[in-house]
Amino acid sequence: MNKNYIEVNNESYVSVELKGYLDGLRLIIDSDASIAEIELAIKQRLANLGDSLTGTTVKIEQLNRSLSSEEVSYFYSLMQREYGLVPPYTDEEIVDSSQLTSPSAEQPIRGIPANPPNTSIYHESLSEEKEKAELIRHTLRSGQVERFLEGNIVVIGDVNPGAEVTASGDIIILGNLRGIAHAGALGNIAAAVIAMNMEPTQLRIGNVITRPPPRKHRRKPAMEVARIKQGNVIVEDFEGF
Amino acid sequence: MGRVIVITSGKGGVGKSTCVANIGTALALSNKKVAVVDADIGLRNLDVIMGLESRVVYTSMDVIDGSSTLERALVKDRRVENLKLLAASQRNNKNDVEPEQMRDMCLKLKEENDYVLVDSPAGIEQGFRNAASAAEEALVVTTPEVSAVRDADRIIGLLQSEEIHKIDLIINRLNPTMVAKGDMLDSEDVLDILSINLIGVVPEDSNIVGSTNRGQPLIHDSKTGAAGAYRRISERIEGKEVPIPEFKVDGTFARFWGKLLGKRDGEIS
Repeated sequence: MNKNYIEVNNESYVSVELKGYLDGLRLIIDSDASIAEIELAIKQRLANLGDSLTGTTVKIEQLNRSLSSEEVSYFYSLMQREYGLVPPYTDEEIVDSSQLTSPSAEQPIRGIPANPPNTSIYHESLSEEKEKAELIRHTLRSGQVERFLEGNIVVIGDVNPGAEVTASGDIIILGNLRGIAHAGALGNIAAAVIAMNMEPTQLRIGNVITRPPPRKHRRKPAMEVARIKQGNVIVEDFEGF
Repeated sequence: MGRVIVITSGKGGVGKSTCVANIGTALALSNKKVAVVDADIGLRNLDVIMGLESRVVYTSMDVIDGSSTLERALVKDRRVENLKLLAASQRNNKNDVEPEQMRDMCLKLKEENDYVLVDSPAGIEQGFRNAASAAEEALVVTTPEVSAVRDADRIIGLLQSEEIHKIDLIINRLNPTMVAKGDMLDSEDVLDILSINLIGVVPEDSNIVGSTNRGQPLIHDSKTGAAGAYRRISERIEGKEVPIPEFKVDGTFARFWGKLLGKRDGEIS
């Protein structure tokens, strides 16, 4: 990838590069310019990416400039909010795996909290803050795409083959799921997909992509839930959260 | 004032033009004034299927650029009164026409006719948008194949976003023997995905190819098989309650007798 230096005010310069590695993307910032100018350069670099990288981990690396940790986390939250890029795991969150077992719990935005989330505070904040959900009142047909990266999606209707639903939280389909559903699109592996009739083309939860085995026999449609258990996406009868 | 109906499918080769030719003829045979419009500019074939190719002088393109009037460009079908065709230009392509121009033409035709049937090209690009621009209702044609159903689903979504909400489905070329063997989707499978109103099921009929090649819509010569299905669809378009017969092979016994008596594949049992 070419280094695109953008000259600012004849004195400072900004270079923002995006490189792909096995464990995700790295955003390499080389600049002595102000925060606002770096932000502009990041936006310019990421503007044309589209939806393809949603849920990908991105790590910020700096050449010859040290951004403060507040500045770095500001950029992480910007990239997550605007482009769906996920900050890398930090050590304290790996220790804090107890939260991942609660399927409805929305994870705190990774990488941002300066102090590791305390379980009791976390649950308290959850009960106070209501989760957002987007409500879709029609069938999603082939080629139609719904994305909501601020919470859950509820579809009253079918998701047909060729249609796609993406949410940062859970996806609930009051109808047939035959297209693609991507829950926890910003990396929340505790997210779930629930459908009245689960026959998806593809299921994605967090960064796990699965293709369900074809059903040999037609069965009576029943409400089912798909979520990650021990690293695999498991589909089972839905019996409430 | 008549009704403007676009016939569309997304996928090519599912029988849109054949549907337009036969349903248009059927409506005209029941004394309705009908104009059929070929919107497949650059790849016209409705005039060929209707056997009117040799009589086309002006096309819709000539009407748009002003070298012909609309009345003069309409080709009358001599076999049936009240049926006219507006042919597509072979020399131009779909981007030479704007949706507004298409809409203006259809609105004029609508004043003089009871039905304006617009034969849409395959695809979802400008040609489709032109065809759909004037329509208030749509007939979506699909065959019982997964790929055709997928495209029909896409088209239904696009029609809805163009504010066309009266959308009816024609399942074309259903082969009852293959359905019975489990090799083909049946109407129920198709409706399960598309969930719109089914206005007719046309059985596969080997006579269609011959009639298309001769330029004589099958409905002139036959009352059964596909022709019967097209006639019933035209009656349903006119608002009559006509039940959709089930094209089913009654078990192996009937198939055996069918073979013994030399029945054609796909003939209604």
